[in-house]
Amino acid sequence: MQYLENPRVNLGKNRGSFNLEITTSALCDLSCTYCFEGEKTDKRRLDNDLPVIYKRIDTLLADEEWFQKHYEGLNISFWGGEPTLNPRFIVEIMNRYNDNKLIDFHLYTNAFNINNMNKIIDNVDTSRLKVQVSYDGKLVNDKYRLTKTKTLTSNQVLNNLYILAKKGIHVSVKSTLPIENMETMYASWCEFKDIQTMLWKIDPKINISYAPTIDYVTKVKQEEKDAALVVFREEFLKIAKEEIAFYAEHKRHLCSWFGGEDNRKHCSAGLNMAAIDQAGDLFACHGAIYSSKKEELKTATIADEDFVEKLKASSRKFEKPLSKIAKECHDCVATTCMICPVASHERSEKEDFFDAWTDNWSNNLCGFFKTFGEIDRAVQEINFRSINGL
Amino acid sequence: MNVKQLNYSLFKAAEHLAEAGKYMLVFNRERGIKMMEEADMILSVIKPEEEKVPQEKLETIMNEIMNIKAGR
Repeated sequence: MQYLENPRVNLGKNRGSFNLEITTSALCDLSCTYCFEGEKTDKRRLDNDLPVIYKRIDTLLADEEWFQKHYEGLNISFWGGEPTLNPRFIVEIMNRYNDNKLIDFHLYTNAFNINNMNKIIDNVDTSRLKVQVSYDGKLVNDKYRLTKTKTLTSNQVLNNLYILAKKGIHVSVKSTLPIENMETMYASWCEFKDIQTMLWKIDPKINISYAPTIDYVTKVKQEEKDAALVVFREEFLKIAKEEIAFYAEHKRHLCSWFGGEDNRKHCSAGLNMAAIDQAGDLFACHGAIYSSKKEELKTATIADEDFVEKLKASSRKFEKPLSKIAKECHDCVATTCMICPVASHERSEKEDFFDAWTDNWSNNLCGFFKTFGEIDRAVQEINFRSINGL
Repeated sequence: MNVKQLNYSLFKAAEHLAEAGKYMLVFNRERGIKMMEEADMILSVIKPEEEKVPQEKLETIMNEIMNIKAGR
């Protein structure tokens, strides 16, 4: 494999905020059939470890040699399971750092239970909180995102999304796209446009995206992937036509995949982010928590007195895979690439850690991103000619 | 803005500056030449990137997009 120096990655100063994800609860109130977290039965929580967590965060913030040199601030992101199942934990951390303007907060949620959400947002300053709601579009959502008694969730989730928006919460939406349901993409895009229109009526400043992540965890046969790719292309051609009109009117894309560049090919897991699981162990990202090779990916535990030193060492270690790029990826037509290095590491047969970490081809998803890259470049060309009157 | 768009903007800036320099020559020859030299400097900043989709294929996909039947 030939590698080139990667000119597009920022390993210097001004990396923005460091993202520290903390698992509030590994349990969930839904039972989504495609969930990559597996059986969610681990009841451990870090409630009693809050003093230690504060100590680690305070040490991190005070670190001049690495943290202050590279980062403008810290983003504390609450991860689950369903994070809102432990509202008190979230409220305590947010209020502890309420006066520290270097810290922002982010919350993942399925937005199913507004009562738990209210226990959080009614007791904190929400001005620095961003809430990301998981919603796939009704056709996918009602097939996969079900309650434990197999009832549908879409209407309730959408309703709660609007409630959050009305309360002035900064909301975004993130979707999963199962490979066997590619035919739903265009309908989902249209639905997201409707949701966007509804949100603009609440507040014209709310901008959401249709931001699907292809389900890279569920194992699908190659023949099924090949068939899905044909549907994927047809669906994205239709979306592309709508996106051109949307871009002309709003000067941005609704689907986050569009308008990409060659630099959207690297996951910076481990470099500018880290995740703490329900046991207090530290990983490169929340995806690593569910890897079958989890133990290889563990970098520290909150009980370690040198936790921050280990976090710094881990971040420096993860500079390595970003400093170079495989020539095949460098020359690739893709403008958006969401190949998960944790999944690569899990599936790869390569022995060296970073050879496995960057073994993108073991995921066998390149076809989707290459196909989309061609469509995106065509859309960008159409927009470019339109803007410049060519 | 992607690299191609940036390159195009730089090219347009250079084109307009050179054009302005041409008219400036009438009034202030030294300043006019200076403006055209500055236009050259802007052009030298442009780093062409190889197109990853051949033009013919790009046109085909653009036609596919414009002719596909979308709508609910």
